[in-house]
Amino acid sequence: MAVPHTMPKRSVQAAAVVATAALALSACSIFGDGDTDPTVGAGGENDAQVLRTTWSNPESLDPHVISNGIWIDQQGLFEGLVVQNSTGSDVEAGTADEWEVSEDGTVWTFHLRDDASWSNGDAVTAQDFLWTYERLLTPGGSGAGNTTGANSYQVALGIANASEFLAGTVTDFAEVGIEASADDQLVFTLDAPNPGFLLGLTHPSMLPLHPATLEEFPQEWTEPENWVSNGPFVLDEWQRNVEMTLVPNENYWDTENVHLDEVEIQLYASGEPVSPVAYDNDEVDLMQLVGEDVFSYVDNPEFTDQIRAVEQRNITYLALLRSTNPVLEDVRVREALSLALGREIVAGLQPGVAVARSLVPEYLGAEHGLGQDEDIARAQELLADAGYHDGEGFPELMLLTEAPRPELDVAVDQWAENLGVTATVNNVERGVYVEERWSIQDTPGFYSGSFITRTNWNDAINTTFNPRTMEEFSLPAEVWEEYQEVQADEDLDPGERASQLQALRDAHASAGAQEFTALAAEGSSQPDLEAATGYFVDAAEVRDDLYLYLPVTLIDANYLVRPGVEGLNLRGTPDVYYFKGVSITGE
Amino acid sequence: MTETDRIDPAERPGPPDSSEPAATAGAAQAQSQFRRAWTRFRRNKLALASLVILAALIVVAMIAPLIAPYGFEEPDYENTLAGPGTAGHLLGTDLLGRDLLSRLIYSLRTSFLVGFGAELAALLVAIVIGLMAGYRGGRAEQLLMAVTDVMFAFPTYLFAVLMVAVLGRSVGAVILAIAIASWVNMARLTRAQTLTLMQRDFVEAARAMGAPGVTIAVRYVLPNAVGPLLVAVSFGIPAAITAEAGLALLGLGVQPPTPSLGGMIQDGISYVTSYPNMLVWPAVMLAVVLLAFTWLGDGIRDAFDTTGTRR
Amino acid sequence: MNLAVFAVRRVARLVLSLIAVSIIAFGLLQLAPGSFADISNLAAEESSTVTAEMQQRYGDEVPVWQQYLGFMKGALTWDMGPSYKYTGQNVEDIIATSFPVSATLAVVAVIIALCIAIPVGVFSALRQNTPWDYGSMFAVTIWHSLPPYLVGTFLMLLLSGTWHVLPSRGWSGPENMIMPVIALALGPAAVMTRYVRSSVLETLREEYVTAAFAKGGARRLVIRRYVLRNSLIPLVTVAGPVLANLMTGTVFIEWIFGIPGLGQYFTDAAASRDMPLLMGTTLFFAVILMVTNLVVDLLYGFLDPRIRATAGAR
Repeated sequence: MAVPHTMPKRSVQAAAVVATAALALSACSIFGDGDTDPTVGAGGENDAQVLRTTWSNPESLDPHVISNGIWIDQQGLFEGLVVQNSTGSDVEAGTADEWEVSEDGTVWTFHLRDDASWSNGDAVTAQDFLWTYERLLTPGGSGAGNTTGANSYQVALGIANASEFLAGTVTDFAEVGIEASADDQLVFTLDAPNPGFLLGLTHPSMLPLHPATLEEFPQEWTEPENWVSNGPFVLDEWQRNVEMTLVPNENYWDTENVHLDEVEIQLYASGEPVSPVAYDNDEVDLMQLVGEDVFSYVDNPEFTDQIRAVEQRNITYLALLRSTNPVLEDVRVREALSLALGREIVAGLQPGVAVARSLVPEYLGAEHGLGQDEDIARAQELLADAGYHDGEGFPELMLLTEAPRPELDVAVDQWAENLGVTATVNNVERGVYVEERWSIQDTPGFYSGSFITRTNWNDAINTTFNPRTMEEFSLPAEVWEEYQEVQADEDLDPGERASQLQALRDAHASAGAQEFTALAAEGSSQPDLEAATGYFVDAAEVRDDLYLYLPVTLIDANYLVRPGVEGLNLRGTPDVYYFKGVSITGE
Repeated sequence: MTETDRIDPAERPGPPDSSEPAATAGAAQAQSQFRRAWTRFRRNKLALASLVILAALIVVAMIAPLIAPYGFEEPDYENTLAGPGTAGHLLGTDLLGRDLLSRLIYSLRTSFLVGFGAELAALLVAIVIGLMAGYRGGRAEQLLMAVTDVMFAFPTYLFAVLMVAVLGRSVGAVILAIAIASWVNMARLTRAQTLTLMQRDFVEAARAMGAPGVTIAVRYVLPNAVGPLLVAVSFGIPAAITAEAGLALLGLGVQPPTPSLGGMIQDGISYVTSYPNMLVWPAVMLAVVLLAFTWLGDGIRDAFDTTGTRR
Repeated sequence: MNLAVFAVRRVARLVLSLIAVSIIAFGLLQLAPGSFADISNLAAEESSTVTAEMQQRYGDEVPVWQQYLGFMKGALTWDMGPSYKYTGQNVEDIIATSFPVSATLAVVAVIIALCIAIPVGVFSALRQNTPWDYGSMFAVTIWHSLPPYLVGTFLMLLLSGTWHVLPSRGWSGPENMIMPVIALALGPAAVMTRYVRSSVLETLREEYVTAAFAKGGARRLVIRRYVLRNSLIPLVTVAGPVLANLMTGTVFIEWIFGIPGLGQYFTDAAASRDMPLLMGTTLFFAVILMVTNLVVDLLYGFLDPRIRATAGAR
């Protein structure tokens, strides 16, 4: 029968003591070093200037692999040959203090400044850049040999043989158009003149890395204890998913213009909601407002002097899904759908959203007369012309998305009301989304996405919605299937694959898409951006008329900025601003 | 999905059922058990009130199209993000001007569908496997043990996430994902009940009279195991509703625009500083549903409990 | 000896289950649409850094079963290689830095839950059917019905957003633990309170207790000596799994309060199809869950002579 028993008292007590001790011990080490004093901030009594801001947790700080981290590299850890000016419209001297271009516009020579040095005191040399670019362009490499992320090289730079070397068709790096002609002299040879080359050099992929450090620590070079960089700041501490601390680089050539004593970056994990409570609670001085938080701050009189907007930072779009149903292969149908999207309604739903009438942001395109108004009557007419009067006989459309977006619900509603076209929103998991949007669907429709708008004409034509992409989107469904098979064919050598793909595009891309390519190419071969713009505007017009991507809205990025933060130039680029030049004054 | 809900009822140690009346037919035994349970249940005011509330909510959910003032995806661009009490929109509207009251009513429908659907699916599988494992032993028992080991070691939540990625976000897929993650506990419970019941006199009597195994299992064992299963189900349904809410927070719940309580909470949480009513309504509704199920479950458990633990 | 056979069987089952878990996780990952490359390319596109062969797949040349075996071989030697997404970080390092965080939160939360559950539960049982009993059970049920992420959000808005007394997020000191621990502890506290109450009520009806009372033992003494000891032992069976589950998945709380625990890596790995990270965290979780269950079983057997007797007899 059940026997009452007692636990030995002493062992219970001993267990409790051990547990408490273990807990206390682990509590000491589980937190970050925590040597930063969170009370020192903007307007604090302490003289130290600490900027406290936020960023998505970087998966890596390697600028050669696409991740959130490459933008922190550019914000102030590394410095490229040239840097962007305050608005992002042109470049200023960086590690190079002078440069010249050959008359035909294809050879660029950069002279490094004498006092450019790494944070460990080594001089920055042209060979360092060369070594870095070889690492960047080595196929599947990034030095460590085991990275899996996407390579960050920007094809639009047009460096001779660079894409070919990356693709594996050229195997000797000496054939790539980058050369260190002297210790302080770096020469680039381009395939053709490129008006976007200088701005393109400010992309993180073109930042220099310190070869000796990377060779010694192929993987751990991004740890604070191994860190060597040439920018105004160096990495001091990195507690993943929590916080990153940067301190000034004492060996930087322009320390005079580096005012901050510390940059404290709160890191947000992927999926973690970014709540402005951290700003209200005086934990950060500068953060982006995301999503619905705009309702509490933008247009709130209490915060008018604390909100700064980067206008039209993102463009949302609907892109054509490939489908076995050919109904959307008729451009009139696509135009009709675009003309009746209900953009005005979407723009009226929340502050900071504007109607996108062209794939080129309004601040670039408006003065060139780009863009088209919505026009229900014309939409109905076009649909009737295509044989679907009042939507009769029109198949159901699908709008594929990975997140709920109001413009999709509005489109569904407006199409039904004005065109008699039914559509459903298909909101799927991210992995499903990436697979479905490029596969051939039974249901015709569009997928929803967004890009960061580009602040200059070259990128607006050659980077986002670029010629190759437009040609690919104009391929008929069955050719697209073949095209993807070629892309996935691992038996083909890279050069052969590239030329087969080119042949398919040449043979099957729509006339309009090819016209866009031709105009873009014409513009890109101009010696400077000004001369190129005329061609780019024409190209943009042709591209808008393809209706392969339907522009929907332009969305402002709003930042909460604590009064006292000075010298902050927010730009439309993904890195948003440089830490250099920012200072914090007492109120 | 709450991380605390995985306590296996079958593992809860408790005194074995001791009070054993004389041998009667199993069916009669079960029937009288029900009658006694109902008498006891009726005396529990809290449980009774919960039952009434849940029944009312279920009716509301079933006739949603009749009583909801608007369709759940019907926009009103003139009245977006309206506060509670706006003319025509009692509880206010969302970003697209969709009526929150209507969406709340429809979301009850989805959440009940998920809750009952997932539990029912889990129950069916659990009963078959649990009965076989308990009655027959052998292969079925080994299989159940093996699956239990694996499921207990598999983070349920990861399982649901991957299942939804594989199956998609339709109501059916979400139900399936949750059911697969939750049937094991119930199967174990069925098995445990079966093992206990097998030793009862009426089962042994039936066996002695040469009744076939299936008959014994279905006619004598199962009806008498209903009590504990009913308790498990009444706790399982709110768990499934919570699980859907958890998936919704990850962006993996039932696909919008079909509203679910979890989906509405996910929407509302991002408006918490600006339009808190968008969070308050679904959160309160979820809490009411979960509470009612808990009290109902308590009531059922006490009603079927023969050891007198009830208050 | 019987016990040795029992132990060997138990461990064998453990290993087999682990293999099954790994195969299921890997299989589901293979079945799930989208590859890591596709998803990371999407991220690249969104910041419009469109690369040359944006749509080209890569890295999957190794046959699927070899990927699996390769990973499992590494896992056995605690060398799971770098994560796809967090390049330059090995999966075992990610686990080693983030698990202690989750574990600490879980342990503290369970301790707090016990500190609430035991006194409230015991008191309610001893005062059965009094207003105190009804009141506390009512409160417990209500807080059990509040999902932790809502409690967490509410706490943050109140304590950080309105009163400004606690940091809203981060992991730099004990003050960062207060809100998440409260949010995490409430649910388990409710479950355990109810459990303690019914367990005490059962013990009070045991023969030896009634006998002790009958013999004229002082109420206080009898309760401490017999009732508490014997009714709290089964709590191990509840506290164990609760602890294991808290240690393995607290992603919402981690998100809300910016805590660098394992839960968010795990979610992220599933969402981005980061095979090594997903497999690593899943297997690690599986081991934790199994070991906890094993420990609970053993502890329970050790604490309760009835079980020990039956286990020995088996």
